[in-house]
Amino acid sequence: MNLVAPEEVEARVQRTLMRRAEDVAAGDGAAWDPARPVSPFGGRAVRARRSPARLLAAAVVVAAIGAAAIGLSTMGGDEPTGSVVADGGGTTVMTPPPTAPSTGSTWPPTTAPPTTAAPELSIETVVGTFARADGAVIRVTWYPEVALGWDRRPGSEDLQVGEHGANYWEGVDQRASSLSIFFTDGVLSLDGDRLGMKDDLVAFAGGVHRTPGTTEFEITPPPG
Amino acid sequence: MTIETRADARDLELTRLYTAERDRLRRLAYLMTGQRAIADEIVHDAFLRVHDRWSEIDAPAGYLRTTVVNLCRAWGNRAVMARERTPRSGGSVDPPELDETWELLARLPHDQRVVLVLRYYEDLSDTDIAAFMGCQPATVRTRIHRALRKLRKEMTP
Repeated sequence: MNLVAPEEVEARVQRTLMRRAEDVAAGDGAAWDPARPVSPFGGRAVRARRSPARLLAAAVVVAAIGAAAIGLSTMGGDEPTGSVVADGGGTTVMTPPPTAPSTGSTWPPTTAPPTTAAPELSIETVVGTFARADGAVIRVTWYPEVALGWDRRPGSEDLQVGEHGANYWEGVDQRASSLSIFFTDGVLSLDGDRLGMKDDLVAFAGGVHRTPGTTEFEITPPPG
Repeated sequence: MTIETRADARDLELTRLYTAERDRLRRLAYLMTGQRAIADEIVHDAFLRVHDRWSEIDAPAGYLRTTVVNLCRAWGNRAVMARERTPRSGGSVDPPELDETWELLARLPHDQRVVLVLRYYEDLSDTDIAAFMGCQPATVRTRIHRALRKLRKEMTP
């Protein structure tokens, strides 16, 4: 297959961006007017994302991830929940989230979590944990201020999941329901970004799979 | 200094800032969203935030740019589905490979598009981009790598 040279890809991207930036002519557009109504991308939208309904929806998503984790941890049959599966360095298994309500094994979840779940979902609620082969326990916490869906908390190995992550899951769960874990330069990170990389991963329905010879893991929900 | 005088000074500074930064920020937002009207709204919104928090902000220009990037990303997260269904605007007289690249950029996951804009338009380092996006430099490198790999697969040689 004939592919463009990597340096040409970068050059095309740069040329395209420079050229397209010229589409925005200097000085056109609206004048500065502080009295102008706030756009839908601003404060109102932020407040909307924090509405109880959205928090509830996020709780469903997070709980579903937890349900997938339960499926993963029990899928091995003899493996007790929370144990470590030996698979070389950096191996990860998932343990059930201690606080997320169980929604069964269906994916996406079809029933709402108990109504008491949403109020419990506050900043830094631990929604899941990962036990690494070296014994380190990585916590996944709910953190609404995270601009990116999933990320590592600065200065620690704990992970954050934020509103945008929940939104992202809400947006793509109709056609893709996997979460990828990556070890890049020795750093553990979660990446819910699948639309552009589905073909890079080996599908493995209902479990966690380490692509042979790589440090990539893919987690897929258990079969509905 | 009276309250009124302070407000006047703030408005004067803000007007200067608006004149100096607005076009650059609109271009940045346009490259991240692909839509001029959205970019204008986002930039306006960012200035409103600076206006409201003027007394709390030490470096308004940096705050503005960060706000624009974050608003673009927030918009992108919500609009990804709609964007995929939006037909591209015609009338371009660019070389075909630039049109193709623009379309491919629009189809990238939004965070990948954002890192490419910050790298290849703003010429920022991994560390600077990571600071903007609140993630690790390694995450930035991974995203850039994946974005370029995907573009390469789909580009016409």
